[in-house]
Amino acid sequence: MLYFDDKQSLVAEILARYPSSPQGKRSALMPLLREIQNAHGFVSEPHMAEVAALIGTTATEVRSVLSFYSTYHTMPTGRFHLQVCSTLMCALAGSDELWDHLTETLDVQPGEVTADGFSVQRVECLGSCGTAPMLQLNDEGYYEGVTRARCDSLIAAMRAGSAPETDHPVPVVVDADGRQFLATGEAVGANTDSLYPLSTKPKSASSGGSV
Amino acid sequence: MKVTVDGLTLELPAGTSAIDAVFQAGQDVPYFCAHPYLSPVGACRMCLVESGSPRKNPDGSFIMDGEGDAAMPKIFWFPKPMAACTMLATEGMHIRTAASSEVVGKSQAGMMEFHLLNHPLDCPTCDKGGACELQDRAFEYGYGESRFGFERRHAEKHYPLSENVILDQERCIHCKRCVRYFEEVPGQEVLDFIERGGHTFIDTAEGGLPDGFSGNITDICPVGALLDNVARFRGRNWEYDHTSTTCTLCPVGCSITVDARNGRLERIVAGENREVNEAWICDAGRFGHVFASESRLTTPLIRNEDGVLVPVTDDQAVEAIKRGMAELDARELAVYFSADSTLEEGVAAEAFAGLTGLSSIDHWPRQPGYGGVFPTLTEIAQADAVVVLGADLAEEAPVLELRILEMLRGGLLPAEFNHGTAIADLRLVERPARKRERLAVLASTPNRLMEHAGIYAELDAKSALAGLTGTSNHPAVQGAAELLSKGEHSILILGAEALASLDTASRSALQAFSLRTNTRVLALPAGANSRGLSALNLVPRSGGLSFEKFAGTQAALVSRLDPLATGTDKPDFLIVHDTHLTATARQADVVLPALSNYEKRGTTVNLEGRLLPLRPAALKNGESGDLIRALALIAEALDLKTSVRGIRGAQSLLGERLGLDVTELPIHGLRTPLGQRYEAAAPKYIPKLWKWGMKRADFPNSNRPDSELPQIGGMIELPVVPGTTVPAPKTTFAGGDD
Repeated sequence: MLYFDDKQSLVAEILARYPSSPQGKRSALMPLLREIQNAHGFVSEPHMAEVAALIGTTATEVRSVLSFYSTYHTMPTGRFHLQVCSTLMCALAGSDELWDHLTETLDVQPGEVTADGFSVQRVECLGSCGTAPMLQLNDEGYYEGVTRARCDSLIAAMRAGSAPETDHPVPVVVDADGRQFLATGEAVGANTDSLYPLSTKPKSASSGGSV
Repeated sequence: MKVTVDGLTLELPAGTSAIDAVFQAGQDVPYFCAHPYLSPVGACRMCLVESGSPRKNPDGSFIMDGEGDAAMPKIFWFPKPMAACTMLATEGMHIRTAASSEVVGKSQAGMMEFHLLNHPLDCPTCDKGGACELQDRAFEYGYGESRFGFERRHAEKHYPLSENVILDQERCIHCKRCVRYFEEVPGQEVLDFIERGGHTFIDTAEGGLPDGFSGNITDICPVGALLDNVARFRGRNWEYDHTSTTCTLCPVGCSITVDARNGRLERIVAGENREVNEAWICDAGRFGHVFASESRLTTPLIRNEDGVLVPVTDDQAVEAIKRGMAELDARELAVYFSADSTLEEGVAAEAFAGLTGLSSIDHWPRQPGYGGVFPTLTEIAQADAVVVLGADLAEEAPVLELRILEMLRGGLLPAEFNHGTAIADLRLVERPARKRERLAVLASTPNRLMEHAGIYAELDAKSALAGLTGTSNHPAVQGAAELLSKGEHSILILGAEALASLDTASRSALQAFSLRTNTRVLALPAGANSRGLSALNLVPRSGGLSFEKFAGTQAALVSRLDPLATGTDKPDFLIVHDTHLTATARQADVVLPALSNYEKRGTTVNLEGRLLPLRPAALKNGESGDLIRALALIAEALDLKTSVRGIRGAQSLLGERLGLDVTELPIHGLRTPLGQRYEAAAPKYIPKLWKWGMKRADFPNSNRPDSELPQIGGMIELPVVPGTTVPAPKTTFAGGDD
């Protein structure tokens, strides 16, 4: 059975967020992928084809979008999915060495999951350049300024069964309504209800949203 | 609109992109991602230029620079270089290229260094070498060395995207031309970037590229990443003899360049013809040329006393024809030839018929046409309502399909400049909106074009046509009829199936319908040059036999047709003029070697009535000659003095007839009235694009009786009967532009 077969109302709800034109329908790609990923932890090829059929595009297109974002996975990830930022700032601060140390210690390569539930991935900039090198645990949060010693202690704690508290939760999270929140709980950006065409925007509301 | 490029001020039409302004000014910028028939996206960042524009004061006057008479509008330069391909040139804009700006030169060299970071240095083994945009531009605009001290990216080097297209992922520079091509031109989103940043590669998740138009990506790839697998490793670009000619596999008449090496046809690439195929050709036209260099006949053959075909000289062949025809009158000879023969060959056949008084003359395939003023391909691309009825364009005229898809995108033909078609026409956009409701497809079996049509139905041509011109309660037929009557530029395209179903009643109903709805009708010709040959008297005269009654003739010349492949009886005396030893040739009394259309000089007429030139590629073909030569040999055997003995005579006769000089045809062709049409009843014929011998895999030497024959240089070496004189092999090239 396909994933969305018994979730037609959810599909209709997601599609309703976007214009009904063929171009607009394609915008539902990312939320649909997110649904599958949240349920299975990864998106398999049949699921890519399923999403493609739902939004009227090809599996190639779906795979292209999916593979662009490191937050979508095409293979199962472990209980502790460690994502090492490897963009320039972190690289200058030693992320290559961190990566080597991590993969050697855990004896794991991207795409693999160890018996004790570790998986690793190199990702592009996570926006924490000031505290490089750093890594992200699952979708939860950042460990920053990760030295070799800190890396070892993180791994030891995870092997013992529980991950230490992250230094920072993931900076911006999105709730079911599409609203964005900072880790502190402060709302940022705007949802569609709070948007006005410029011509009709009341003067008092001009200081409303902040991004 | 006045634009100044490197100090030279020129007048340009509004809407010109900065890159075209630069080229129009005679200057140059490098570019990889822009392509005349694709949307400009600014992906490669090579066409960087400095640019600036004047600004106005609030009162509308220009902000000036300088004092008194010397004051000029002040140019406000952009702080950084801009990509010229995605920038619209505006009134008073100033542009500096590398020729006048050090910043631009350095930016371009820097971008080139980035492009080459991960590009392997395998030019010596790369098929693109010598004709590579990256190689040329690196030489012109690069630093000449790299500062990148790390290991290059390694990826798949022989990744088959399909049977015919091989991808080298290491060579790809991510210009996105192939991705945009598939999305914008055939409308198939089958290729895309996978991953991101330095890991990006091109791939498909559809299990291979679709058939039809995939080969075009090998032409537009600016590097050696996408390669034509049929031509791969067959030659270097500087070794090829390039011949610009016209493809005659179908009646579209695409412009192609035939690349031959050592007398073998190794590669076909698309030529540009803005009016016909723009820059695209179909996969059959590109990859289906194997037969031109495999197992060719190179000398005449005659049947000896033992009933074996043996190679002979032209004179011996003439003698054999004379012997065979001794008991017969010249009028008894029937002449049948392929409908992709040139107009020159047609004129020669017509003259031969006049000379001998023969009545059985025919060309094949042939089917009833439909007169009237037919639209051009550009008019189809710019129409607002098109109905395709009883046609499978994928088999009958593939590139016409692309022009119809262009119609759905609004029929935007890029502008033309001194340097040719606009390099970046900013009206072309990525993911263009398509007006599917402008297209209706009615055919008896599902076909590729239906996927793009707003209205489609599986209906047999006869009832679809009757419903369209009369009344119907089928919603798709009603929709199609409404589409045509509402459209201002409506076009009805009739394919083989529809034409076969035409009778007197449906013909007059169609005529009335097209008058009433102001619809122009394009009847697809059956053969590549059917449109042209139908203007010559090449149909059976009174008492003559048509091609399908070939078995009833006493003596026949059959040129590049294979009626005995399906096993009918042969005439008493059979002369075959063909490129290969076909089933018919095997039963012939005399075989004359023929030229393929890649080696001919002549003129063909495409489906829109455009005269297009054929030019001879340098292929090894021994003693082969065209139909004009075959007829001249037969005339000699019959002691007749023919006025058309060669291509010159045929061309001057044709020129008199058409009132123009066919030797001076532009490569883009010329539309001219062809005059009277000669029609005769014809059997139903459903065209197939891929024919025998076009693929290496289906070249079945193994299951043919001559499999044990030794082959030398791809040609059949026939067994020699002791005591026969074998003509010395002569190496002739019907090549070059002699």
